[in-house]
Amino acid sequence: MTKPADDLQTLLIGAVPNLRAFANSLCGDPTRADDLVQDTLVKAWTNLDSFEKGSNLKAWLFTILRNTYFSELRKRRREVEDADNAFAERMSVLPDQDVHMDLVDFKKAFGTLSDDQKEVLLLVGAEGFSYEEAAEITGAAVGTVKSRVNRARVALTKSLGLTSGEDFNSNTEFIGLVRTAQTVVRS
Amino acid sequence: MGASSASKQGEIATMQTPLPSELQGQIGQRLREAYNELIVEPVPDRFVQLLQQLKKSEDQNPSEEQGGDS
Repeated sequence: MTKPADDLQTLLIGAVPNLRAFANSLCGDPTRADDLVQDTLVKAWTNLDSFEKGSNLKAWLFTILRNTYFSELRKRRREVEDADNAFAERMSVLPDQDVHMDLVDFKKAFGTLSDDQKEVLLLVGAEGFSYEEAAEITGAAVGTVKSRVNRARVALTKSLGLTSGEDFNSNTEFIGLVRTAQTVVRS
Repeated sequence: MGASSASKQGEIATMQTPLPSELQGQIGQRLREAYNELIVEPVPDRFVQLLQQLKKSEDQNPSEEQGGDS
């Protein structure tokens, strides 16, 4: 016997942990992250009629949050160009004894990614959205999302110094592809 | 710090070559671990209160949209 508003309240509260994690990872500032989540909830509540029933509520909420974040960011950049730098350095590396060293390193490396890269990697890699959903949320083309995710992963791999036994294989495969392409061009 | 200029060099190659799946797995695992630390944080009261407030103001003033009482 719940009214729609009760349902919505429950659904929105249920989404808060994910929205906070996303906002925090994106902006690296817990206070700002919570403000973003608050803005998102208010906007969602007041614009509920623009939400298509039966579509993905979580994706809709993430869209609101990232749009709010990026439009604020644009405004801030115009106001104080320097604030952006200080902002990027403030990553969410919390002092926590229980955290493994490699996780601390990971967070540092993650903090050096561009906002565009962070965003898609979080959506696809952490939240489990499909490339198509991530494209819809960010308003970018699917191909753009894919290449951003890949570039983000490559950048992280490099700054973490990760290596793989598969490296050699994929490299020869790549050279093989180039050779094939050259052959095609020549013939 | 200097990482961005260093990563520029590999940019062209990395756009076409996807990362080996083993490395993708390693990155993904760390990402989810870091993310999960944030997910498990308890929801602050301010959000519960905020939603109660929004609901209350709608109950008192359902001008824009009918809740559908019956």
